[in-house]
Amino acid sequence: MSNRSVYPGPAALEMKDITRRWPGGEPVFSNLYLSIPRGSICCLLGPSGCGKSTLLRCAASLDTMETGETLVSGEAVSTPSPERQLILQDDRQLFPWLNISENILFPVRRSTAGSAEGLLEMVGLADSGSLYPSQLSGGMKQRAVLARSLAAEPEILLLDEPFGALDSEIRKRLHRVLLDIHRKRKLTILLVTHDVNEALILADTIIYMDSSGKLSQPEVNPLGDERNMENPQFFQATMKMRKRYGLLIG
Amino acid sequence: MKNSFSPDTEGNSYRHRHHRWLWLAGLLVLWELIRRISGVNPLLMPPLGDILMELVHGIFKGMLVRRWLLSMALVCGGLAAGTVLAMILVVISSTGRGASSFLSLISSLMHPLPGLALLPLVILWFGTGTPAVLFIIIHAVLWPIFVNLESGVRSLAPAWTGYARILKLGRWETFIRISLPGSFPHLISGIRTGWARSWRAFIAAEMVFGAVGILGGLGWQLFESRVMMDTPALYSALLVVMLTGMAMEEIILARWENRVRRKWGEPGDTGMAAE
Amino acid sequence: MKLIKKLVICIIISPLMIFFFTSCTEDKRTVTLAEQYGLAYAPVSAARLKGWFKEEVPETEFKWQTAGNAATVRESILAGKLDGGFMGIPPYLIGKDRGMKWTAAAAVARAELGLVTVQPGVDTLGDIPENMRIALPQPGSIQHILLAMAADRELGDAGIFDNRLITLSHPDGLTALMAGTEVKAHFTSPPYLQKELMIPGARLILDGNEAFGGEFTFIIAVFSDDFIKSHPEELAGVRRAIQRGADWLNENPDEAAAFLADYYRMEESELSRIFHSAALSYGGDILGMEDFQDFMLKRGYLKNGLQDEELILP
Repeated sequence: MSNRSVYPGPAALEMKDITRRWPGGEPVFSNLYLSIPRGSICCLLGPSGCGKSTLLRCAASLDTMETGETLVSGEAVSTPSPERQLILQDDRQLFPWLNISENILFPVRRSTAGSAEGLLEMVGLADSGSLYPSQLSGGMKQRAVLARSLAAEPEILLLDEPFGALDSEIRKRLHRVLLDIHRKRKLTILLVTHDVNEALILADTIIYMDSSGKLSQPEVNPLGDERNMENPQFFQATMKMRKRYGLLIG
Repeated sequence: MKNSFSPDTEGNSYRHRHHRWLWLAGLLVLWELIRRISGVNPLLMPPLGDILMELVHGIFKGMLVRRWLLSMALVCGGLAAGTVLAMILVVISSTGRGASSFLSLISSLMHPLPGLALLPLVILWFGTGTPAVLFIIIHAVLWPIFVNLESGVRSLAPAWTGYARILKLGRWETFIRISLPGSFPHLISGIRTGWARSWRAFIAAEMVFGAVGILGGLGWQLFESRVMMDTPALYSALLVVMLTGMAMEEIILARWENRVRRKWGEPGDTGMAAE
Repeated sequence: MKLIKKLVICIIISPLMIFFFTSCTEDKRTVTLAEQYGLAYAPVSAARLKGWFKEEVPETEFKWQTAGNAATVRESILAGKLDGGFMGIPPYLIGKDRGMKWTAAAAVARAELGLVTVQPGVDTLGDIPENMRIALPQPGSIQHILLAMAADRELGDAGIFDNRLITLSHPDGLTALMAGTEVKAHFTSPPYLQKELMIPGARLILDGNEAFGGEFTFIIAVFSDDFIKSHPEELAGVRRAIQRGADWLNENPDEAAAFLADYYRMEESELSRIFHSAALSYGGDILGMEDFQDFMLKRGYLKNGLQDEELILP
């Protein structure tokens, strides 16, 4: 594991023995254990419908679990809190009645004009603060949502396929924005995706969730610090991972 | 980038509005034609000139303007009070299943009930003055606004309500900062219905009830001209009632709704910016 | 142009509309009258229920409508849907003054009207404080004119109460008085007058005859001039039937009370007491037309003075 961004002390997010059932009683997943070290980026990879979004909602304490507990920095939590910010793929996360600056400052009780500008710049929306969400493209909206979650000064970002609906060019740019933010803000990130490439580009560790809701052992990103598609080993690493988890193309 | 709208829509609505004035003028001409051809008793259909003279006289010398202002003040006041009350009810209804099912029962019982049907009870509770008429107006606006606002709150985007939980917002803060603005388009539809209902209820209440205060409003003007058999004044007051209702509905409320919907990008979301 | 086409269609349709507006009761064998609900209209109701209209005018069909007030009667006559109806003298005079082609043809009832108050310390009109509201049926009603006449005579200002009036129907006025609202006085007629005087603390501070300065007819029968001209026989029969009802009520109060108790949804004993008392008396000649007209002319409710012959059918 790359030690560039991992800090000592208890894990930023730890989930012990967690079980969550469908309304019918069938378990989505049961007795899982998950630990994410402070400052690391962990990607939860898996096919759609396997329960990884539910796991993320449980990590945010938005869904209740039948068994188990969630610990943030070693302390048990049972209700949502601003330190764990959740970002979805949903097109309607921003508030349409507020402009982008107002949306971004929504979590801040007493806003100062400067703080919105800094966040807008960080996500590359410097000139768009006065626009309304209906005037933004999908990528711009996700940038704004990212900026809004940063305004709450979180410790953990929980991302559920945040770039899933975007085309690849925009996606690539947003990956860079996310990594940039991670470096500057020393955040812990848990990202859910079904895209192996995305996992290899972003993650320190990768965990695979299969369609029956079981988790694999965490795997350190084989690309080390050279996580980009220009790395000659990228294609090989992708193929290896696809093979291991049965995620063949076509 | 500005959200641009297709000039076509604007042109249509302009032409549409243009047509309306033509139709209105046509109706007035038709009135005069029928009157002259048929030789109908002027007590039934007074000449257009008399009606317009009466209108001008009422505006400049009579009490029409003061009565109009009183009517507007009462109806708008009732509308505001009803809106606030509806908001309080929606918050109460969000406290739990019991409160919500109780309030939904009350609103489905009260919504179809015309305020005038309550008149004898209203006299018992509130007497006959301004409070009674205000009660009738608030009754007319409260339920449509409540029903609309509640369905708005129910259909809020799940991401917004989830975000309120993440930020640990309280019940009131969630309502003021998310639920209320988030169901604003619903609220405005509710206010539009509420306006139409309260305007009618007020005019009718005054016609059954008598003047509000010393002066009275437009309903009283109608009633008084009727019992005093001042037919031109009756028609001129009717004209004011109709035009006010229409102006408020089409010019003020509909535009407000359009503006909000446009801001939300609801109808023609053509102004999508490129990345 | 489409618009012009539509306009032409409207013009073609308009004669049909005119027909609807002006269609009179063409059938010579039909008489349409409006009845109102109240003890003062008892001669009409009694004669109708006893079938006396048909007896007096055989081979004629009577159609009855129910009217809420004089304005409804007036509008129906104006629209040609009605041949006659019943009302107080002032609404009749207002209509006549504005050009209604109608004429009074019979007296239906005289009645004891009165201003009842529940406000302590108010015993005369002069005692009525500024903030006290007085309920009565409507502007231009007989109650309104009587109050103005009394105010003119006693206080020298006929309009002194105009800003303190509130329009309520008789039952709503009774409710308001009983409920202790800001309405502390009500100008009303039987049986509401009797009911209100039973409220603890309620008393009569002005009666109708006192206000008017003599006797007057409360309810008169009014017929459209078209009907009067074209149906003299039917008119005569209708007048006879009303007088027959009035005489029967005056002469047989107990029998009438038994007969009408169900119709008025009142106790027979209570109705009998009212029929026996001086509160109501039926029929006779129309009284007070001239004095009402003089006063209403003076106060500006009327513009053109008319002769008695024009106002009352001989």
